[in-house]
Amino acid sequence: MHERYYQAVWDTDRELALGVVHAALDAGLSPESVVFDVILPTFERMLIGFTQTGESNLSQHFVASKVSEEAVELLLPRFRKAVPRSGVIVLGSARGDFHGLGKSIVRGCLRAQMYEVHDLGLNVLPEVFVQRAEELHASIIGISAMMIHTATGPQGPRGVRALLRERGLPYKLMVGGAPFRFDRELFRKVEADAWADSALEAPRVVEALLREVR
Amino acid sequence: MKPVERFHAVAHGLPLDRIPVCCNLLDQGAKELGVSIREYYARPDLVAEGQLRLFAKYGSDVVWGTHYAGRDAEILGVDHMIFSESGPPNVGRMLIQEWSDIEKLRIPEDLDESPAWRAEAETVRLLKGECAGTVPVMATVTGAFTLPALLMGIEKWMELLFFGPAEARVQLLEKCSDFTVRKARALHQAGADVVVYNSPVASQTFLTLANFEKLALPWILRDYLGMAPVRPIYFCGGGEICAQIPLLVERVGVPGVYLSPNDDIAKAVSLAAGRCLVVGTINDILLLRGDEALVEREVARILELGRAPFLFGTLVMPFDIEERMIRHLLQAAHRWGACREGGRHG
Repeated sequence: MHERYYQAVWDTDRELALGVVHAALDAGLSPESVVFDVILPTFERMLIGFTQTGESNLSQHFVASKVSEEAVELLLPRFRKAVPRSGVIVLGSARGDFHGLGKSIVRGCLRAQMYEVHDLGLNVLPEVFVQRAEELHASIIGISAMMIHTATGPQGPRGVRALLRERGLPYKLMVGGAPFRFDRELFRKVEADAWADSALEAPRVVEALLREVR
Repeated sequence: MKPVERFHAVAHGLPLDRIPVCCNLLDQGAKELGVSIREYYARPDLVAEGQLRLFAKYGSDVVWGTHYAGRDAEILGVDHMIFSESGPPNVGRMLIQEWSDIEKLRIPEDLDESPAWRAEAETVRLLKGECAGTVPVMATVTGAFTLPALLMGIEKWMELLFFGPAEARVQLLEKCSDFTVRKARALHQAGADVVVYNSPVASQTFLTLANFEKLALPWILRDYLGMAPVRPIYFCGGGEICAQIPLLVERVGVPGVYLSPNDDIAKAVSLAAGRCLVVGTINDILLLRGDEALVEREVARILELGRAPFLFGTLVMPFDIEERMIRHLLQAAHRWGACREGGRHG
């Protein structure tokens, strides 16, 4: 089951992947088992493939994220015991940035792992990030930037950090996107607490940040 | 040697003084002229003037008629761009909001209908007038497989590609390919010496090799067949393309591959096996650190790995890179790329 699901995601075949999920349920697997024994380990396998061998790529992450998000949303209400959400995160792309793919993959990966994620969309002002984080009692603000000037500009993560500092707010700030992959120290320059090399890695980064605030 | 002579020598395996350098300074022209990026791109003559000043100041081997990637979306009808003071403009409102909008997308038979095209073409013409016989004029076209990302956003394009109706996907790609072909030919007619074909969404960063062959390659082939006799250099757009080189050379016949900084240069040179030009690319985002020694090491590494036919290139050249770092980059590339009698690049 796990292998068939992994292969379907690897082949970017959404229909087949969802078919495996439904077949698993029909065969009597519990929703909990489908999520914890099939869907989430697939993320782990893809992450290993990506970080150790560079084998998986954005379209595979996109399909894995979409399918997992869809499947987990479908299966969560069927769990015998409600699963407490692991943490609240607000996500968005930096002001002036209209690239949404990476952010969308991160959203799917995090939701599949039971985090409560609020996607603020594209081209988000620093004030909006902070205001929504306050309203939603978030622990983490996640900012995606695909261009160097949106990653490093005053309306990007640095702008959010300035507001957090000015208002004395404790939210953690994580970033991601191509510029951070081309310069692995760039997240420090924009005053983020952490960065994720890929969307698949985002849950680990989130978990580490949450440990710091708990 | 003049830059055109260097390019000619590389293309024909003739002796040359040093490896040509393709430094992608674009928005920096606005800084040279003391105008905003918005004002700069509103006037094709300013862009041409900016390019000439950058050429004179830093000593790259090319000038760019290209404005910015979003220009191709503007030519097709996007009317809202978001300008920045420190980077290229971004498409502010997608032309295709719903898949049903694909039907309405119109590719102009005559690109001169579009003010955005006329502006870019005018820059190419002005540069050609100034540089003919001395410096190659470069220009860019977006590949059919990547253009949908500029028209509908990358996420929606991925959705259509992997989950959407095949008819809509094919219809969109046919229209995009028609545009790519027309623009490449029009750039050539306007005076571009080298057309660069930009297709990051077809790169390994997005696709497995199997999906590249199945989903993207047929459209790249369609583009290249349609663009002939124009033969653009295949540009990675930031994504990795090394493993695709055999298919690009053998099936498409690309004359050159412009690598990502993340590509393995030695492997790329080996896969190209002298059958096409290889452009080895520095990770120019690192120039923002202001560390000259780091740049020196990287330039030396890239040029050590290069084997003819080879060019040294940059990727995005962020606007905020300090002038001294640009100068250092170019000087290092000239120094390490010097060809010695019987030597590595000789």
